[in-house]
Amino acid sequence: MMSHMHAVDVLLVEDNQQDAELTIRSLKKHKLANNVSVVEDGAEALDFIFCRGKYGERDINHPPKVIFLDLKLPLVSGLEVLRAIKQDARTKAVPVVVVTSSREDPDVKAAYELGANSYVVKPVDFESFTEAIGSLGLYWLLINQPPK
Amino acid sequence: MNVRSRITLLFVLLAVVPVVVVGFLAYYTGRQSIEQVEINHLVSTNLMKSSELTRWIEAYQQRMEELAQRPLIAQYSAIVVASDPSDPAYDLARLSLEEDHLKPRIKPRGGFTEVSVISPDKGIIMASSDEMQEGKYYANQRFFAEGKLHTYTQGVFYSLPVQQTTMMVSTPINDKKEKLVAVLAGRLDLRDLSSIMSAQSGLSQSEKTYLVNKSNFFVTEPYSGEGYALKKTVRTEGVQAGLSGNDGVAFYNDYRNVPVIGAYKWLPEYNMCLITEVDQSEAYAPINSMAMTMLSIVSLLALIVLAAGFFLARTITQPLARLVAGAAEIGRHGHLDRKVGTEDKDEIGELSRAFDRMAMELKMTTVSIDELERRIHERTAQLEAANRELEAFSYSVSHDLRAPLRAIDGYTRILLEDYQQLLDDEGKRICSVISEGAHKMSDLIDDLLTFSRLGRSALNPSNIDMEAMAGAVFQELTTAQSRKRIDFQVDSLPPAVGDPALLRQVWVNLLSNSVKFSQKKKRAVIRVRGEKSENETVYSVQDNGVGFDMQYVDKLFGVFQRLHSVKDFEGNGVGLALVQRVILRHGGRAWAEGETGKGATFYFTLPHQGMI
Repeated sequence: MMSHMHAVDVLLVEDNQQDAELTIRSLKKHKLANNVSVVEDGAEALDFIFCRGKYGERDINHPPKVIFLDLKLPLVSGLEVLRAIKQDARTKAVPVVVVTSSREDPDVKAAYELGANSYVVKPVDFESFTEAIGSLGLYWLLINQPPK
Repeated sequence: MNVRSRITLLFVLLAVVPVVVVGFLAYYTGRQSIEQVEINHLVSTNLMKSSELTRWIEAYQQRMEELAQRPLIAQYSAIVVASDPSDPAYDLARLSLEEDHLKPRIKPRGGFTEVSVISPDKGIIMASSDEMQEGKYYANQRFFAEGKLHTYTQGVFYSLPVQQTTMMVSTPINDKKEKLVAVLAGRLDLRDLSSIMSAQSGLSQSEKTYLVNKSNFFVTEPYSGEGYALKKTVRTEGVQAGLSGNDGVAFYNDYRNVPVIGAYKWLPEYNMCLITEVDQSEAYAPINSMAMTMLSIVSLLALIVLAAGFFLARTITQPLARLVAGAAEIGRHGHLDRKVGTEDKDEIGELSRAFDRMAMELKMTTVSIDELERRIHERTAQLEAANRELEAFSYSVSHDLRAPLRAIDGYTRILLEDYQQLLDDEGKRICSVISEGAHKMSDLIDDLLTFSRLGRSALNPSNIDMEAMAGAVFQELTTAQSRKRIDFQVDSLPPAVGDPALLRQVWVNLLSNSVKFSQKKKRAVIRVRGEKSENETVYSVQDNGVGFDMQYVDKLFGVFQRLHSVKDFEGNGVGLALVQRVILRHGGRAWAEGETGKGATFYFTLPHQGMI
């Protein structure tokens, strides 16, 4: 769960610690968990991304390769975080995968409109969950080519 | 024709028709009686005139006889007739005869125009009041022949000796021994006759009486001063009838070609016919003037009635017109406050007030409809708010209930993976039960959400080929392997109008139930039917599966209601509840029939109209 100050592959924005643990375990299973950072609310997520507050030493020019973003977050909501990322020229190229527990989420449409790159429902079944997270990690970290 | 004209016309007819009928009858009877009176008058005038004529002639005859009976007349006449100029008595006798006896008998004192003494043997005038006549010859005249025997009057004839029409009275002059001495003859003045005839006998201006002789000549003047007498002929209907020897009355045109009523009478003793005529225009004048008066009265009456009818009709139609205008305004513009009522005590006034009451009640109804609409609006808003809350709630449920489940399943799996060596078989079994429970709970959440979403989302109706849809769903639900075991029969199904996604879910649930509950049969039969009735179409899915006890049929469509154990058949008891919900939302009904061990039939209907 430790993170490099400089090279972060995955930023996991998740307030549910169990979900966070399961996500990291899934990534680990696929050997993708080397550089995973976890923040627990929207405000911290914004600090991390824009290198503010306790993340002031971070270099904004080295953003995470992918952000896994839950929509239901304390303090600042997932949609607000998404909006901030996509409105800033420095960060808008960072892929954001919206991860949520519910198909019923009324914010799905809003998320896509704000520029979410994917929208994924977290399955209850652990195997399916591992599969889903693994696929996402593989895709965004290895297959997807970020702009230079 | 509008009411007003009809009422007016009715009035005029009621008032004028009787008057016209009575008037016509009065005119007709009046004319008849006037005619009768006139005819009586003319006939009696004729009688009177003919007797006047007789008296007139008789008076002259009498004078003539009186003259003839004088002794001196006989004496002198004998001398004159003897006509011996040498007789010294001759001159004296003639002079005396003429001067003392004949001349005094002529006009103006005597009335005759000429009185002569005629010799009985030769018929020569021997002495006369008119000396010019002496020596004239009358032997072949009738009055001479008759006059030798008795007093005689010869009717109008043309006298050659005097060269004019004349009328003669003759009588014998006898001596003491009753021996004929001479014939005394007197000429009558026809102008006197004219004045007698034309003397007015009645009040009528146009009435005239005249004599016509056998040769159709006027004997007397019809009107004095015309100079027709013995110069003009007349051949009118009345004259012809009279000259044929008849007495009577006729309607014809007289010699002036003026319509007259004429009475004619034949006078055989004088060979003349007596005519009395009156102009029809004058005779009918009273009745005609009465008719004119009547006509004026009728016209005036008609005018008065017309005006009265017109105004009365106005009093009737004006309130009606107001009513019509008021009704039109209420109808067109919805001005329910508009009042058309009047104070009138009559039926129309009552109608107008009833109309106002109706408008008022209508207004109250309208107001309450407005109130209802407002409440509906309010309620709809409340429902929409509740719906939004429900959506938020279901989102929370699905989101927040899932997270712990995911943790339960995830950590159980971690336990199994990371602590495999520490768990014996029982421990592993317990872990898998925990996992299973979590999965089932997740499915339940999904089904519940689907169920609640069905009740809320709007319907998107379109035309659906139900036969194709049922077939496609069956194909999806089954594998080629399982289809070998199932005899699936689809009748030709009537198409439907409804939400395709929802109705598809209905087919999915019903057909999957049928497949599921007949899976233990060696040979499963699933039959789908559809039948159209007047207002709806009934679809059904029948299977020969395990069926159910009709005793529990009410529980069949309840949420989470199951009639079979999970051990025998999987399922969470939401499927049929969902079917019923969808069908109810389409305005239809759903029900089931079954028997334990023999199979079940599920029915649902879709209305042809009035889908909610």
